[in-house]
This record gives sequence, structure tokens and C-alpha cells, in this order.
Amino acid sequence: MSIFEDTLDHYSTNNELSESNIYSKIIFALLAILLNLMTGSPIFPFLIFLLCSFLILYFAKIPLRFYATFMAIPLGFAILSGIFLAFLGTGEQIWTLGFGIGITKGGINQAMLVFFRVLGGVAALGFLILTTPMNRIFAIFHDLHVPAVITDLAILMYRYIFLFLDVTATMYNSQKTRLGYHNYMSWMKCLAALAGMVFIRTWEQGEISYKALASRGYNGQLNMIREGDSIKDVSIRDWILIILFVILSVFAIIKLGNWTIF
Amino acid sequence: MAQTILEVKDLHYNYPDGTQAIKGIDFKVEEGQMISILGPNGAGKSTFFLHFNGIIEPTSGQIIIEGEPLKYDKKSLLKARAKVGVVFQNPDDQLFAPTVYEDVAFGPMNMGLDEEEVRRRVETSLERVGMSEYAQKAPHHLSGGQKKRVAIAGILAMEPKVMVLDEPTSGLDPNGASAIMQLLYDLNADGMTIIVSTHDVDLVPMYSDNINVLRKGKILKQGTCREVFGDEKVIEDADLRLPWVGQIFEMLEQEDDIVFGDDGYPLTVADARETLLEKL
Repeated sequence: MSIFEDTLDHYSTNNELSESNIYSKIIFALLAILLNLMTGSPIFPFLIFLLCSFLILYFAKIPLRFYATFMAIPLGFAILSGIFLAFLGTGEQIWTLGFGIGITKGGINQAMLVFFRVLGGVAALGFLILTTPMNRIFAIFHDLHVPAVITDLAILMYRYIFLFLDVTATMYNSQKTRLGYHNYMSWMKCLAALAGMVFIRTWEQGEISYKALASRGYNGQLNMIREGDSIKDVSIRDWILIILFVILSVFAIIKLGNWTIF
Repeated sequence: MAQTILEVKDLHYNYPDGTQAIKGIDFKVEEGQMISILGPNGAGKSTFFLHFNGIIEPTSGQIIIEGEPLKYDKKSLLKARAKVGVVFQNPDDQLFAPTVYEDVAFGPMNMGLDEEEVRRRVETSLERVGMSEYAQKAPHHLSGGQKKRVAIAGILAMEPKVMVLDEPTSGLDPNGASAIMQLLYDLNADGMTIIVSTHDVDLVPMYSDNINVLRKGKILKQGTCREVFGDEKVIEDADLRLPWVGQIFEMLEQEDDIVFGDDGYPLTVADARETLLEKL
């Protein structure tokens, strides 16, 4: 099971908050994202980022290393868009690149706001993703009356992703054992063969999985038992914390207004 | 006399390309039996098993479940599948749900039982296979033996009359394989009718005394362990061998002229011990 040790799925099922009520987590994450978008100052999203990171690292006990890798990609995009935005502002340029392009105060402020909003938003979403096992999220689909066919497909895809990840890893290793991928042309050929074989395997797996499901009475719809929490089970403590969070946030948003660094 | 629960009459099956997979099998299962089907790879065991609950429709011949010939409309198939449960060889083919609990609940849910009954069955069957503490785990976080247990629980929860297992010990370590066979033996002792396919000749004699040898889509021989393993020609034809314990006694008899009785070689460690103690 070693290839699954360091995956998102592993951490989302094995952290200190996996078992806590999913509705508390979803309501908190959605509110945090919403409030994050309502602010005009980069300070508030930064506070959200700090709060969510604290929850993820201290309460859920997700390793810092993994959290850093998780945040790295969205952060990279945020920095890139920040740089572009800094050049797009109008007004007096404080630094000129030439060809009439330069950085303006307005641009920097806009860039900061967007960068920190991304940071805060991803951290809030990360809090939900990193602490919640996937199967709990499927239960929410059911409560939200998402069409059964979408939920069914999501459930089957979720299961078989891991199966085919395993198949792919095994085939990849066996190709490398026989000196595959040793130069560019071989790399191209091996990858093509791997992709083709995995595709054929998915086809075969589909046939046999259908037989196995049919053996247990499957007739076109996955009848799953309702598992997971109800919104009624959210504890009073959680409600109080969420309400407190909203009041403090609204207060902070009003206080900070459109306060900017420049 | 026990009631006949499953009967196969003159079963023939050809693959879509015309290859004959099953070439005329007559087979009868009585309530409470534990039957082993021994056969080499490619003998047609899996294909044969998928006829029992109507997943494969035979080219000719008949499947009779509890005296009723199997029909292939939706309703009859559903009924047949609740009576005859098939555990697939590779548990990854069978487990599909995000958690063990939901997977085991799938069969009973399809039978249209109410939720309370479904939960009761899921909990009892997980308890039975010793997987209760893994109920909330995802299948891809389990080991091979654990997946096998969950796959068995998924069928147990449907409370079928007959449980059919395709190579239940394949891919398991020796202890895991023995534990699964012991579980099946216990289930059988509690009244479940069980059909197992395998080519583990060392394990079979310990748990089952009703063996059918299947080769190239035909049943070569049916009988007790001693009858089947005593028939050298059948064993050789079916690419099987004597269990290791039997081979010791065969060598002692053939090379050293030490004969231990005339009703065949002992086939399990316990039998061997008894035979040796008698002789000494």
C-alpha cells in the first residue's frame, strides 16, 4: 500500500478531524470562502489563511510538508496572476519596464488583494478537502439532491481511480525493469503502450465489475445505504464557534474597509 | 435425505467465438454440503460458476434452484441472485463502494430490505468475517486478505442459500488462506451450503470431503478425497498432484515397500499422524 501513503486520500481519512461532523466543516469552509470574497482589504483573507492553516496543522495534524506541497500549485498560479495584475493597473507608474508598461500603485494593491484572496480561499477549501474523507462528501451529494447518476458515477470513479493507479504503477515498474524509458523515443513508445494497456484494462474491468455488481442484484442504479452525519447533529459548540467566526469576520471586514498597503 | 438446492442439467456453453467452454455438466448440490471443485487453470471453473446465478446464460441445459428452473427475466434473476451468492476471485472486481460498510450493504439494499434489517445484516456479517473494526475504511486501504473477507461479508449479508466462491485462497499468504478456509468451514457447520473452486490440493482435504474434478469443461470425477486422490489417472489428466502429505506415503510405499493400510494414502497432517502412530 506504499504508493497510497502520501496521497491526499490517505490524509483525508487519517487525520484528527476525519470523524467530526461534515456539516460543521462544510458550513465553515463555505462561509469562510464567501466572507473572503466580500472583503476589500488583503489583510482579512490573510487572517483566513492563518486561521485555516492553524486548523489544518494544529487540529487536524496534517504534516506541514504535505500541506506545503498541497498549497504550492495554487500559490504558484496566484503569484503569476499577481505579477500580471501589478502591470495592468492604471495611473501613475512607480516602476517602468518600457514600451509604456509599468507597475502602478493601483496595480500592486489589486495584485495583493487577488493574491491573498486566492491564499485564503484555497486554505478554506483545503481545510474541507484535507479533513474530510471522500465518502462523506458523497453522502452530502445525496442530501443536496444531486442526480443519482452523477453520484453513482462519482462513487465508481473514486473507487477505480485507485485501482488503475495501482495497475499503472505496476505496469510502469515492469516497463522500467525491462529498460523502458531509457531515451526519448523509448519514453514515447513506453508511455503510449502504457496508456493503451491501461485503457484496455479499464474496459475489461468494466465488464467484470458489471458481472460482480449484477451478482449482488444491481439493476441500473446503485442503491447505497445512507451513511454519514446529518445537519441536525452539528453540536451547539460548533454552531457557537461558527456564529462567533461570522460576527468577528464581519466586524473585521467593516473595520478594515478598503485598507491597502499603499 | 437432504433437499437438493441447486441442480445443473446437461450444461453446455460456447463462447461467442464458438469455443466450447462447458461441454455437458451434470451437477447436484444438496443442502448443507461443502463441495470443492478442483481443476487446473482454464478448466472453465469461473465460467461454470457464473451460470449458477444467471450471469451467463447457457447455450443449452438447465439450472434448477430449489426445484425451480432458472428463467432469465429481471425478476427471476434477482431472486436467483439472492439465493445463490457468488464471491469473485479478485476482490477488487467486487468491492466498489467508498467504504466497507456501504459495500457490504449494497446486496441487501438491492434486495429491497428496510434500513434497520440492512444494518443488522451488515453488522452481523462483518462480525462473522472479523472485519467489524474496518467498517468505515476505504477498500483500497485494506490488505488482500481483508478485501477477501469483505467480499465474503458482502455476499453473507444477502443471506443466500448457497455461497459460491471462486478461488477463495488465491493470492493469500498461507495463514490467510487457512483462515479463509476455516471461516468457510465454520459457515458450513452453521448450515450454509458452500461450493468452492480451488487448485490448492493441500488445503482441500482438510475442509471438504466432496470433490469434483473439472477439466476442459467436463467433470472428470466426483467423490470423496480418498476416492479422487486415489485415482492416479484422473489426477494426472487434470494437471493436479497428490497433497504433499500423500506424496510422502506414496514414496514410502513405492520406494521402501512400507504399506500403511489399503484405503488410500492419508492426505492431511492429522490423518498422517494417526496412521503413523498406529504403525509405530
